[in-house]
Amino acid sequence: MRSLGGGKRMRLRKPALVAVSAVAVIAAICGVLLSTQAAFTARTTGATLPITAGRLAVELTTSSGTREPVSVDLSEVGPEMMWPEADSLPISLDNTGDLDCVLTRLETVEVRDGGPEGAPQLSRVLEVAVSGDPAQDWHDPALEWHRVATEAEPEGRSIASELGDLPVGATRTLYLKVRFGADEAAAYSASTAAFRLVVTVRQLL
Amino acid sequence: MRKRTALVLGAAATAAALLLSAGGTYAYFAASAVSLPGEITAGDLTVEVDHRAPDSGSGPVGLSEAAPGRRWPASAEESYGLVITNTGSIPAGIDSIDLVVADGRAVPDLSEALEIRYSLTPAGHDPDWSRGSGWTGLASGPVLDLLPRRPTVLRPGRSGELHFQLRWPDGAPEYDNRFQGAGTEFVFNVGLGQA
Repeated sequence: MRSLGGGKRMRLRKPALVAVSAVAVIAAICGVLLSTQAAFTARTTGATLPITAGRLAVELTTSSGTREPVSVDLSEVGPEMMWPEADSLPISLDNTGDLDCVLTRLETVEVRDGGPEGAPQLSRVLEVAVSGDPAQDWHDPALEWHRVATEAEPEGRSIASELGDLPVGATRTLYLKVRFGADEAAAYSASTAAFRLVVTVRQLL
Repeated sequence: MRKRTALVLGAAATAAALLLSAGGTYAYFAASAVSLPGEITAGDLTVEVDHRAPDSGSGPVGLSEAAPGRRWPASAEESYGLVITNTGSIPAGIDSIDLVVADGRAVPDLSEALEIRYSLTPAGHDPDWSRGSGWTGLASGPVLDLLPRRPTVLRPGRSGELHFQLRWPDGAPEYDNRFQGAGTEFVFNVGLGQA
């Protein structure tokens, strides 16, 4: 490169060339930025879009309309060893959530045998049957009876499944019968057992 | 004629000649014109957005009683819409559409369980999900980065429409049950730039 003032040649070294190039690039970028800033822009925000999840809830109550424990005294059962001796124990299932649901399972859980040391566990000879029919014939051979607990499932087991849909606000009543399933009732004298009924539901798809 | 008298007459003649000359100058036609001030009016760039429900109803969109395994709207042919209108006087491009999920709500936030997908079309066109964003988590961020193509220019008075659908993937009940009764809120911020 020749200087303007005379015939002396002046060469720019590579770092200087790089610096000049960088300055040129930066200047170009600044030009672009300035151009962009000079253009009109407008912004706005839309309305808020709220989303709320539903709630799935079912309440299980016995005939008393409460969730208080129901006491069963097997010494008061008749010769057929069933309780209640007449009729059955109604169980109400209320969909108190805001989503329709399906009753998928009714279980007995948390069995605790409070009987005397060495006594057979009462829960393993107690049987329950469930029906949706208030006029159920509890002597019907086709009726399925389930042990409250077994050796394989000591903490409880499913006693009914796929009990149908339960829309929001609807109530389903099931009827429960308990019977003593052992021949030697005396062996269980003074034994006690406690179990809960647990209903499982899933959202209706 | 005496010399002095001749000098006075000569001066008077000269003066008369000058006056005549001046009178001739005043007799010329003259005209002038002043142009009107030039008017330059800047264009303006404004944008409006409006939400559109699947039934084409306009106004805020909301969902309640959301549950896992569902999609809103249920049909792929339907969508919620964010109609973006260039209400200014110059052509504009959509520079940005940002989804902003409100924070500060109770934990868990329902947005953690939800997914959203977008399709950007001229207003009035059906969504084309095959050229959309695909399903992505409902999280704050730029929407345009999720779309395969940048939107075209919006001329004054024209609109584009951001279609969107929401879904709650059917996960494990242990996970989904955490969100029963939970909620979330989000907004779209839209920016236009001069084309």
